[in-house]
Amino acid sequence: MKDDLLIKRIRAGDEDAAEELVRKFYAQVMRFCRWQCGNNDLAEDLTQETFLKVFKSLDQYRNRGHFKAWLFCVARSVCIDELRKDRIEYEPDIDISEIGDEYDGIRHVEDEDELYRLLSGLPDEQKEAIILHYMEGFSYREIGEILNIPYRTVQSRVNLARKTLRKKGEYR
Amino acid sequence: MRVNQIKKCLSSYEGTENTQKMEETIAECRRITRENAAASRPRSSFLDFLSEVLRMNGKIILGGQMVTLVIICLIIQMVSDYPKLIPVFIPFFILAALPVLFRAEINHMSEIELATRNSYAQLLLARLIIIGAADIICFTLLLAVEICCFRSGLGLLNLILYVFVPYMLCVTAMLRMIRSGKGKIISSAMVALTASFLWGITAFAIPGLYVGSAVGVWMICFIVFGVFFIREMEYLISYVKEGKIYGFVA
Repeated sequence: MKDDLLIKRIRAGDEDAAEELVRKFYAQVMRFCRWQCGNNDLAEDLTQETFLKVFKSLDQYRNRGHFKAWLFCVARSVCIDELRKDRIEYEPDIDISEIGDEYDGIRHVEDEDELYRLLSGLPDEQKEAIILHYMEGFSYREIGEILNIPYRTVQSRVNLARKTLRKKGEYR
Repeated sequence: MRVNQIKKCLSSYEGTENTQKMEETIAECRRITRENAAASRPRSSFLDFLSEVLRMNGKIILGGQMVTLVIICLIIQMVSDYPKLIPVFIPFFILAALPVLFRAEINHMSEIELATRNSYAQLLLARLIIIGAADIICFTLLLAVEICCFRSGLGLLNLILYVFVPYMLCVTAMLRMIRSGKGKIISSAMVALTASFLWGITAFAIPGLYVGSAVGVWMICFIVFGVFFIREMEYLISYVKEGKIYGFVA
């Protein structure tokens, strides 16, 4: 079912539609929050907070067919608020120090942990752009809406991130 | 690292979901949806509300006014100098409407009315509109009776002024008393009876006030009381718009 139709039903008080919406986006928002804060438990709390915030301020959403972008915009602001609140340092569940110098020369990225490590080396704005683009499948324009920046800036951030990843992946 | 590798890795990445947390989130979202739906239940418009008040009070208001009209017509028929007695009887139309206007006070329901969705100001405005409409019908009939049956020879303008000047005076005084919090049914009834009494005195003490040439005086009174009446109505409407508590319940 289209997102805007779900929203319409939720606004009319349909609780099943509310459940459907949460189930539809929970994993994606959770994944995004996890990339943002690097901690699974915190990501769960942030995901929950995101959905509660979205449901409480659903009347602010104008039906323009970009619900997912709006949802991620809220998720991003929730993550930023949380990270600013206690100045949480990036605490990944994976211990980066364990990944040592035993890897020499050109190698391919084969698992997500490796990718996680590579992404963690990127500047935050590039990491955010590349996650939204490749992981969540947003277009440059939609990412621009979420991050509140022009789509060309998004494009350049994604390109820069790609270059960096390519370099890091090849010359590790 | 190639783009398709990034894509593949990122798109296959699954956050480890805590099902319990997700169910908790769903339950919370269901609760918020339920609460939002309850909060955004559409409120009835003022027109709907007016029709409801008309349904509940219309018969009593119109009946009361009609009975007053019949009594007044019968009395007027018995007296010889009736045109100048018209203002004497006009306050009785207000008097007849007081039981409806002060229904909450009479039935000790003010607190319950206060707790309902519509404010006392809205309720009073709705009742005043209905009473005003009923009074206009009654006054038209009264004037028609005077012109067709009694033929006093006075102009229509004089007769209209005889009707509306005391009417506006009474309504303005009553609204002002209600706004200041002193408006109880007894005090408002006293205002109506005092006004009637005073008009009676002027009818006999200053008969020159009721001749055709005195229209200017009545016109000035009409404008003065009209301004005060409009001001009171503006106050009442502003209370309705701003949702402030009005009258003795404040």
